[in-house]
Amino acid sequence: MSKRPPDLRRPGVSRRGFLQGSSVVAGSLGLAAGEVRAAAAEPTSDTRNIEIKINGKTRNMSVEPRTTLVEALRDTLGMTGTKIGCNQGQCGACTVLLNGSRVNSCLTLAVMAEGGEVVTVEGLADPSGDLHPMQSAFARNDAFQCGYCTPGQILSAIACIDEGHAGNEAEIREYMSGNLCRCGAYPNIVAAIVQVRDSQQG
Amino acid sequence: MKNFAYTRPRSLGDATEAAGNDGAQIIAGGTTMVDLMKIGVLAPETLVDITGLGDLEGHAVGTDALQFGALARMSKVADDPAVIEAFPALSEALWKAASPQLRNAATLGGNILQRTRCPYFRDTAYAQCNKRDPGSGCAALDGGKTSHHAILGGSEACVAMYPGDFAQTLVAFDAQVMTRGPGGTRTIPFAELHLLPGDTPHVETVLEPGEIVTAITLPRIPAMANSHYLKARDRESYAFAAASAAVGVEMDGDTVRDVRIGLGGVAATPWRARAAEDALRGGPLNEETAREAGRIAFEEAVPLEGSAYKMPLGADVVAGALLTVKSRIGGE
Amino acid sequence: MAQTINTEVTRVDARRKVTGTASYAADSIPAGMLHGALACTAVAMGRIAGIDTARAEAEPGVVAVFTHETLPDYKTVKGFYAGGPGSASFWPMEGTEIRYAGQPFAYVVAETAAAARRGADLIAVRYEEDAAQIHMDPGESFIIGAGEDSEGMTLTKGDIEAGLGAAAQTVEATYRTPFQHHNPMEMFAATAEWRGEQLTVWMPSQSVRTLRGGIAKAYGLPETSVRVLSPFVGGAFGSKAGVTPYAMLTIAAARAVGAPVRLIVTRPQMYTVATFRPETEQKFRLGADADGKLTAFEHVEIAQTSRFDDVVNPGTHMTRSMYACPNIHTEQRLARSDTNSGGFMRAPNEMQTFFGLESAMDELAWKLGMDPVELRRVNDTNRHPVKDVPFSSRSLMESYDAVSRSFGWADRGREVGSMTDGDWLVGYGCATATYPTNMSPSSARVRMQGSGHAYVELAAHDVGTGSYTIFAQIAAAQLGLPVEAVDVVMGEADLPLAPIAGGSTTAASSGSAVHIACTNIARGVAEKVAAQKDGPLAGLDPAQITLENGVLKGPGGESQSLAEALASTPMGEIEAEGQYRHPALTDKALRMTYHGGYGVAGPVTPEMAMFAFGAQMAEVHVHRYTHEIRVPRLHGAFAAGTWLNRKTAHSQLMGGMVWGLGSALHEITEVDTPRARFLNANIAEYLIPVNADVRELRVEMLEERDDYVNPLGVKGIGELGIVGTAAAVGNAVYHATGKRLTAIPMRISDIVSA
Repeated sequence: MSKRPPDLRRPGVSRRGFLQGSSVVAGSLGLAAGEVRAAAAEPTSDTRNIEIKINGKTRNMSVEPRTTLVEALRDTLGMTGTKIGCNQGQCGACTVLLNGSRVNSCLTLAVMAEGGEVVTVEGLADPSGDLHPMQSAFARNDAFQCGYCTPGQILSAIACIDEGHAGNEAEIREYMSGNLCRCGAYPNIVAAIVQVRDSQQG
Repeated sequence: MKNFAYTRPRSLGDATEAAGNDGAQIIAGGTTMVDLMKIGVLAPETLVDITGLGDLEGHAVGTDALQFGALARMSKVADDPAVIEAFPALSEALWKAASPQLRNAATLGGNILQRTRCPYFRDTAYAQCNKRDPGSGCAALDGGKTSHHAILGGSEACVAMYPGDFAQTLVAFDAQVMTRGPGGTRTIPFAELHLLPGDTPHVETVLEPGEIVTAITLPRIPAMANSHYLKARDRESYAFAAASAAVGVEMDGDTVRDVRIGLGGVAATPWRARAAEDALRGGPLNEETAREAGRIAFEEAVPLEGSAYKMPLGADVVAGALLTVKSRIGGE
Repeated sequence: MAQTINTEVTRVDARRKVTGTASYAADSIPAGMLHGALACTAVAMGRIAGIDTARAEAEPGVVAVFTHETLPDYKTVKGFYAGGPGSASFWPMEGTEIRYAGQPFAYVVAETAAAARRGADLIAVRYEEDAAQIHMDPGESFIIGAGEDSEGMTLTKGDIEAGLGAAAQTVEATYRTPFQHHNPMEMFAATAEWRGEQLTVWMPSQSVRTLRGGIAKAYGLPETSVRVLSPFVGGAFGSKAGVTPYAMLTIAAARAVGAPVRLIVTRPQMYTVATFRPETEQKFRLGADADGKLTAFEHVEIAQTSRFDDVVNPGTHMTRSMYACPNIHTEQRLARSDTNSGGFMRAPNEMQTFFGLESAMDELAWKLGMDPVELRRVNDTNRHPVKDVPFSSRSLMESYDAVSRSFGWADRGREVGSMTDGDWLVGYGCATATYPTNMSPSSARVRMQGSGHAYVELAAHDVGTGSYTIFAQIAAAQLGLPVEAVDVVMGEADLPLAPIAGGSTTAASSGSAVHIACTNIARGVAEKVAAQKDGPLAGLDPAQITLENGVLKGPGGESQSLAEALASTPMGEIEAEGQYRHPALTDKALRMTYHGGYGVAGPVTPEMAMFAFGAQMAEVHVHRYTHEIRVPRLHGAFAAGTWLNRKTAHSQLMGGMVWGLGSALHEITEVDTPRARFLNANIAEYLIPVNADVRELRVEMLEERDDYVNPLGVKGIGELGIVGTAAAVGNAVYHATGKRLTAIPMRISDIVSA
């Protein structure tokens, strides 16, 4: 039991009894729910304190070894701009830049990112609110429909140019194929990347 | 995912020791490991993160050999102009695999040890899987769908397919794998690294507990420069091979002096088509001989109901890859 | 004021979507939220014999484990095909019964998502397993209802055998389409928070009112006690329309633990906990005279359905609406197997039926030695082939002519296998696209301020279609405001009535309501300013004041901008509702919509047939050695009345064509027959097109005027683009290789084996 986080149950109420209990008992957990957050912040023997620089700011957090980077971003830090589309490294929706290279944050353990630098969609616009050129190009070219894959697409697109894989449209298509878009905005995504590439060269 | 202890050793010795403990697994890029842990196929007690071992990250293209550290990232090696020049098939096999994000994370050492995509292995709802649960049976062979299964090297216990691309270049071009284990270092011919499933499909390689792949080397041979990786797949990118071939050819005038053929998408392990190579060596390379080589490459195939198409397909892919290389040589 | 309709307007929500601040359901994290996870059955048929939750309950972080025996206050609703709002009629966890593989049998609540999922993995379950069959048996098919009914599932016009007998050429062919899953990028999610008897649910939804109504009724709560929030939806395509078990389980679990609970359904579980596109068989018999005129048209569709619902998407209604023919026979059949109930997936029957119909038409053209475009031309008609009413507008051949020009159709080799490009065999193919224009009732509320800002509110949805933007455009155009001065609020059930975001109805139906609301605003302002002492319009008869692009105009040339006029009134602000109802909408359909159902007028009214049309052309390459099928060029031309926003409309049609490409080459939910399970339940082995698969994709948007369909002249386009693509690709594969593939997807294995 030493690994167990503080118990939410009232002393003396067994879990099983609790589940079968009346609404009065259920109400008591409603009150206890506020303690959940406090409890989560207190590391157990399973959790580790890690430090990751996210969008230029050093963030400390306590995570389990199994916590993925995207879970740390979304659930621990509340940074929900990064999306989960499959949680299996198959769709690219969770793409972030880790130490400058694009990775699927759902297959990256947060503990393995310790000491690293992460860029998410929240870190692209400058502090005054001006959009990153890739964000503007996506908006202008209607390079999305539902918008769910978009944060991952944009980070991947930025990396695609940085890697030198935006030489022509065929190369862009190939090197953007790790980001699925179910709405089918691909041609507009390619157009956005071409525009940004050309403006950077010009 | 079951929770686990996590350790990040700073030396190879520490890593070997930690990885040798019961229930320990090595993690590097994590693209296979985290995936399989999430779906409950793997549940290690301890993960030994070897990405801190920086001296395993490099690679070098020498005049006599190509060397790759086990922690070299797939994307970095694929993009290296020296690699592209020296061994185009190897670069192609890397960049035609997975996605840019996965290639940025995945390491070469992890890549060669990637696990099968057999859906019955990957879904723990299936009670029968000799690879996941030795002795439990094989759901694929028990009336299952076998269109993505091995037609070469399978057994009555397991017909799971080795899904990788890079390994086909290694097996065809006599790569060697350097390891460090509790008993010290050793060198394993790549062709001997993977084990056929036989009666023990859960034992996939000759690696001992705690033994860590540290490097991959390839002797530099003339056929490498004229090499090609042809991958047939149902979508243009980000898909596993229906069939693939890594080939390299060295010509002496109109005669094949050396030829290498590795097969992917069709076999239980990285597969070298030696009989097909032998048939070509010393003769001409043309549409007829290329097609004959393709036929020979699959002479011993045992197709299942769903995977019968892989026999003619694989033969055509071998022929197509050889003829592509031939036309490139001719163009010079 | 600049024209905003029929122009390219950047999405009003673009900034939120590119900055990651658009809030999808799972992005809302109420204080104290816990995490849910589902445990789903391995077997497809039988009973739960026992569940041991001890290990799950002992897992650190797990708060509660619920089974059918221990989940209190779990409510269910009637299924859609039984007239209710539910995604299926059979509900899991009501008892021990198992009716499909991957059926939820336990619900875990934990402090973290990882702990919840681990808890679900640790539940031990024993089954009493019965045999199950996942594929339908077409030999056991049946027709819903009974007897001959020209409105319904069978239809006979003329004499089909006589028509076949009189034909110069006939085609008899069967085509097959597979199980498919929507796979929106956003995973299914539901977050429920109870505060006493007040419930808030965050859930991606295509119909917030359906969801709210269903939940409120199930719990016996007034609808005002249930808030349903779905401001952004990460793709839906039909998968997020109904009240699902994962939603109702989460609501019950949140109530039981007394804390908010969020469930994110895993990608593999998404294949079984909601609906899908059922597999089908399409049987055609066509006959034509020597000139190509159809003498006989027979279509029998057999679609898979579950044991507990009659899931019917009547495709024969569509195919028999297409071409002129004196002798028509159609049958709509179902065949049962052991799955959860299917449902609607983008162009829910049209994708399948037009793969069949347009492949058969191509076979007929080859037999006749006729240009397949010309075959469509000789069979084009301006009257509905069955109902004999005129089409309100029909630009089929204009579409073919436009796409033929852009594609270079005339340059094709006339023989099979006559074109190559290196190691690639090259073929061209074409096919017709069509989609019914369905009109739902809708309301909208518009509030305008004299300062020049307006708010549009309605319970509609933007599932990526661009609804936020087009409603802002419609209001801006009417009220004479810039688009950015209009805020649109949607995705909340408390807002005015709007239909399900399905059947391509939203733009036309709710857009009309917004238009009417704005007109009502103008009328209200006109009355006020006409009654005032001063002002350019003072003293005029308000009935003679008209609104034109945001300017009020009097009969003698007097004019004042709406905003100025409004500012001059004492309240300086005005609110109006608009209610839209197509004249042909029945009272029954109206009531259905108000109760969260899908009530529409059309596509065929007593006076008119309302459809959108288009034509698609594909260039296909088939590799000599790898046998890969690639589509380097895909062109489509479409006419669908008024284009509200040329940018988002283009995206809708393009996205549809990408879907069509996926159906042609990639998409199939594979099946493990012995265990009756969906096999490739992920997004790596269930292939959808990636960026590299979409090369030259061109969309031509033709001008078309249709005054009948609705005040704006708009036809829905969300589904039009997917229809016909698979046939165009298949027809091109035949042209390239001489191989007629009669099932989709068309893969390497199929081309090698053909």
